[in-house]
Amino acid sequence: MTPPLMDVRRVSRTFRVNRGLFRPSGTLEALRDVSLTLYRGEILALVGESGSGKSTLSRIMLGLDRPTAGDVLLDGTSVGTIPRRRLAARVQPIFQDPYSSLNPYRTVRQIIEMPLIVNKRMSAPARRRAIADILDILRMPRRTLEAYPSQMSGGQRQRVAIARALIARPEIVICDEPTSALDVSVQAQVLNLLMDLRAEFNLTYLFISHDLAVVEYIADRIAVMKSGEIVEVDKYDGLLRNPKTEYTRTLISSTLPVPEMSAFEQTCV
Amino acid sequence: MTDVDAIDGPSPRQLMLRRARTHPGFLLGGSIVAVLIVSALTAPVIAPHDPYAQDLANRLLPPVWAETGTWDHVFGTDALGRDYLSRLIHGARVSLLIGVCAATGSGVIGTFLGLVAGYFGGRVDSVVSFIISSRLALPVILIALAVVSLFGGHLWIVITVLSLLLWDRFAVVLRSATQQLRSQEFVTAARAMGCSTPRILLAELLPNLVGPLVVVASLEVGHAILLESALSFLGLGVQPPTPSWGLMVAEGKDMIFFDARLIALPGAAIALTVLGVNLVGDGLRDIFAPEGRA
Amino acid sequence: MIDGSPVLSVRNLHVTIPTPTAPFVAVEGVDLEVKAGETLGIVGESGSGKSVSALAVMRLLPPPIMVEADDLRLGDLDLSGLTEHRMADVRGARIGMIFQEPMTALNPVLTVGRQLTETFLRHRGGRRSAARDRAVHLLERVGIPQAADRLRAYPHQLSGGLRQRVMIAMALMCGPDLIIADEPTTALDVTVQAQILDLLAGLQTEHGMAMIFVSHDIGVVARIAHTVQVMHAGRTVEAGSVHDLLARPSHPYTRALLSAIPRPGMRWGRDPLGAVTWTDDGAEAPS
Repeated sequence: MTPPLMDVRRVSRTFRVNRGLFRPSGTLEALRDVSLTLYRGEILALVGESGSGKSTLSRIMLGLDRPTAGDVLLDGTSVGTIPRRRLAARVQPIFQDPYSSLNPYRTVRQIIEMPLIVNKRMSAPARRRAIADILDILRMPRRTLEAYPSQMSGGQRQRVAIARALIARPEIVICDEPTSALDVSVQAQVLNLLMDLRAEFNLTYLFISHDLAVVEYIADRIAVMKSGEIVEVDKYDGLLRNPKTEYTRTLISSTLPVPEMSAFEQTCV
Repeated sequence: MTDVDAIDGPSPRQLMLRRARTHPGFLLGGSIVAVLIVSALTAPVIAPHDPYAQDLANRLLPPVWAETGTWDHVFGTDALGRDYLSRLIHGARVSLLIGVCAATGSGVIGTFLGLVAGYFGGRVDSVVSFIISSRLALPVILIALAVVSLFGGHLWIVITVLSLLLWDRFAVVLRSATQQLRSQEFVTAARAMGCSTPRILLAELLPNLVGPLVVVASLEVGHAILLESALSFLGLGVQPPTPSWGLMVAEGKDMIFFDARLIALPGAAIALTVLGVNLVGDGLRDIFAPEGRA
Repeated sequence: MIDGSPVLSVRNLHVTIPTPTAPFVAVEGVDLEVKAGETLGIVGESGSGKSVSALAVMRLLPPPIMVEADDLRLGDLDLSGLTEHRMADVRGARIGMIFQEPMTALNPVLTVGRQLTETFLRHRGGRRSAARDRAVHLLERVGIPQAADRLRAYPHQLSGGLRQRVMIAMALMCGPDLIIADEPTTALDVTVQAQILDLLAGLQTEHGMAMIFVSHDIGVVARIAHTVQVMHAGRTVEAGSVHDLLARPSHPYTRALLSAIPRPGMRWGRDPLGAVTWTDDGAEAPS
């Protein structure tokens, strides 16, 4: 396989929790000795239930949080030592809720342009060209630029969020449940869009989801998390066909297949 | 349903304008404040007489509605024969100047403290909360009196003192509003794209806080105007002969049994101004509040 | 399928929301019918009118919103003619409601036991100890361990799954004829989701209630419902038994919806996901 792009090495993260005024504060182990490798160009899915540590791990990979122990390496350099702007240019997030991930008081243009302004590497005309390019790629009409997020539907907003994540041409995109807040019909559009963009931008995805069907549809490898630990990592078909742990089996059996669909599929596909 | 091009509905700004146009309280308060601002700005032009010009021959002339009143002095004259209407109009300048400057000054202090406390939380929050509590434990009027009696009642000293004393509501409101915003994903997104902390505070968070900020500011303008009147009434605010409504009440108080107009008119001006400003503040709360995320 | 007269029957339901410009018709001519022991699934995307329909049946929509129906009856009781006071007796006693987010549907400052017994005492009366016994029994039935101890717990002390189980127990307290469940599993983890669905199905057969199950997730609905109604833009675009609808979706919108969900075994590149391209102008075929 290709060399690792991002390497999570034995990362632990504990949080201090206050348990009331007069009781000693306890600790919560959100991540326990997690190791995970992201290879260039792949789609690695991270599956687990709420509270399993998926989001904590993604925050650490984005450089938004520091591990208590262990290290995350990007091309061999510790993420903690990379300046914020330099890291931001290479790793970008896409969030679950396009209603809270866009500043309601900024126009689409201001939102999309922000990463370029922060980066300080581009002149104003170059920024305008970059915005025009990304709009074309995402097939968004020009006039959306002056709109506010409140004037857009969930799918449109998620497109804006994707445009913002990609405009500075990052290598890694960390998608945290990017479709689960959207309507079914829009989910498919966004999934397809993410897959098209991957080729166009040469992206590596870490795709966090609880939906095994979505994960199976797009992922190259799947990592399963439970209570702060990675219980299983494998290629997608291997993991789904021969789950090695009891927990993965439970997860698979809990995914709800649409029953009695065979007839429909024959007529439609 | 999945028309990706559709942009529905008005922008946040259009929505607010629409709500402002149909809000009776805001419109009434806005008209009062607008009239006051215009008369304060154009006072030298619209005032019929020089507010400082004494005319001892024409002391305590009655207003126009009294039997012997004339249109030359619509509201009559005071004990020194100065035209009362002109003094009232010029008094609006002092009141509004102090109100707006004190609210701005305290707004800057309170906004900074509230933003920082709400965004960083933890120890910073504890420190700021302690400062807020300490400030709330201070009796505003006593401190103001003490400082003004020490340093004199110059206009700018009054403004500075009020700025340093009236920031608490800004800090409290902005702190909790910031705490709610902090967990929103657009803040995380800004961090992830490498924005510096000042940029996040000023460019991302502050625009979302304009609503509560403006509401608190308008209420504090009213608060500052009242305090200035109180200080002036006690003789420790703006010094004579500057026309200030509080001072005018104080000067008129000896005549209360003979000529109640000398107190009633500046008193009504204070009440009307504070009412107008508070109506605007209340209205702004309704206009901003339903906004946010569509 | 169980025969008999419907527990709930709604004909030609209209819900109109007045707005400053023109009134917005959220639900337009929807019929609902569900028999005892049967589950009706209502599927649709956000804004399709599915939740509004459910709330309209409970008469839970606030005043400026207008609800009209040719017929709105629960058993032989005409709901549209009831005063708000009588309607409050029907809610909770004869119709149980389960919401999406149990944390906001439960009162955070009252214990679980208090909330369970209050409903029962209000509608059924009797002794507090009897209500308590029923609460413990139901909590055990919905699979809450140490049920007697949990009566003293506050909602925030329970996990999401446990809270949803408490909600279910509360809906069952008075032995309702009809349960309306609005996205009851959406906020839950997948493994918990499966357990809750099984629980609801089991309880339904046990008590012979009718159930209306509102969801945006056709997979969830397929698992629990007997009949399905697909809603789009305030109207029912397709209705029928689950089997027929999944095997032979006749309406293009339903077909589009079904083709937009990835299913186990599907793979990008090999099995393209059809993104729904659907316009609002009636029954025209999608592109």
